[in-house]
Amino acid sequence: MDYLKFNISRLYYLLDISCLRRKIRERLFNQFHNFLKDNGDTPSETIDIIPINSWERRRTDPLIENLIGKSLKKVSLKFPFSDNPDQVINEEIKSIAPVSGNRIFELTLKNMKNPDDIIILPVKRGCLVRDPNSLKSHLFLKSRLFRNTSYSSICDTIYFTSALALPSVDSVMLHGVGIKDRERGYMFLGLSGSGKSTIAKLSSGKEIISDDGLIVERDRSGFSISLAPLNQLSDHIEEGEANCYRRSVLSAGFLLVKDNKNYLEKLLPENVCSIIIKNHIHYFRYFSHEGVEKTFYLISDLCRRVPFYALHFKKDASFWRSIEDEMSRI
Amino acid sequence: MIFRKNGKILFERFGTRTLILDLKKNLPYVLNNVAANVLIKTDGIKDLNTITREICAEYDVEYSRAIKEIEGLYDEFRSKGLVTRTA
Repeated sequence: MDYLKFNISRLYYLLDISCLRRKIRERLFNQFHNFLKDNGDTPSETIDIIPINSWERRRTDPLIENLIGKSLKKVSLKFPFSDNPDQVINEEIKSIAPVSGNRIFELTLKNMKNPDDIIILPVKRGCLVRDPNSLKSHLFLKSRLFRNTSYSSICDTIYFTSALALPSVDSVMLHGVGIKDRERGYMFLGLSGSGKSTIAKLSSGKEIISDDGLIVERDRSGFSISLAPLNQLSDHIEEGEANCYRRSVLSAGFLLVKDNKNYLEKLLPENVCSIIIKNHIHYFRYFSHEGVEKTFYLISDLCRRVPFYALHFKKDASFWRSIEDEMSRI
Repeated sequence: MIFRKNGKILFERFGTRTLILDLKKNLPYVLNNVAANVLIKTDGIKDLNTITREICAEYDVEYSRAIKEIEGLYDEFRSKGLVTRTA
């Protein structure tokens, strides 16, 4: 087996790349060149990529169909709820169909210690099966599509599995922007359209740690923020320059509110916790109970120890003055 | 009236309020500490009167006022799917 070895936060990854074409391997090497590591540690996560030939396809075993249905249903009961969960599940089952009748797929599911725990994520032209007990994931992909589609499916898999595994190393992946200014790290959170990209664009001269996905890590000295893998920092750095060494101690967090004047409102930690848990944790609905518990207490601690504000901001760089004033006060 | 929790709930106190997380739906709520305490005491065994008496002893409130408020709380918990009435 040929493995790509890399680190995401304190996770150590082995990604089986033996079945991939040279071009896809090169893209992955470029993407991860700053995350690569080979020090012989015990892997925290292993991802095997399994090519599926379409001619292998046959009718899905009812037992397997039942396992898939159960796994998808479990997720559909979690927030955010769908208006028509049965229709969503049926569509997901259909999208998995190219691989679910495959013998290796069936065997993988049947060999899992506790099939009730398995997590299934449909990806483009295939699906990912993760066993949280063995920390091993299998990415099943239709082999004739081992081109760009498979590259994006592999990237989705790494992103997804790291989001799920990070709580085990006292970290969490959040949807937000991270910016470092004069040795202080700031986190900007907001729903889609709230102005996260605008904030990154209006922060020239400061170090953009991430403009989309952010890893928040807890250690003995407090909390730090770093770049989540696979985020392209679209307007700031080119693909391949994602750098895991972009990191900063977290000094404050901001929930974004577009406005016609700049000001900060201090937020109560319990309210911030509730907002982060509800809206800003990547793939939270797929977390195991243990992962949810660890994340709940991690976020509670974060909100107690780091000040959070609602940042009302105008669409220019003047909001930084409000932040600097507040930071000089605390 | 007896109620039980529908699944595991996590609690974290922040001063006078408590953040709870319903593990079944991964949904957080912020409650005042009395409401959180009622939820903690809801175990499928203690009835409404027992829980109300315990709350009255802890918070020094009159029984007649407390029971009305606790009934209201259970209506809210039920609407959120946090508890089910068993008897």
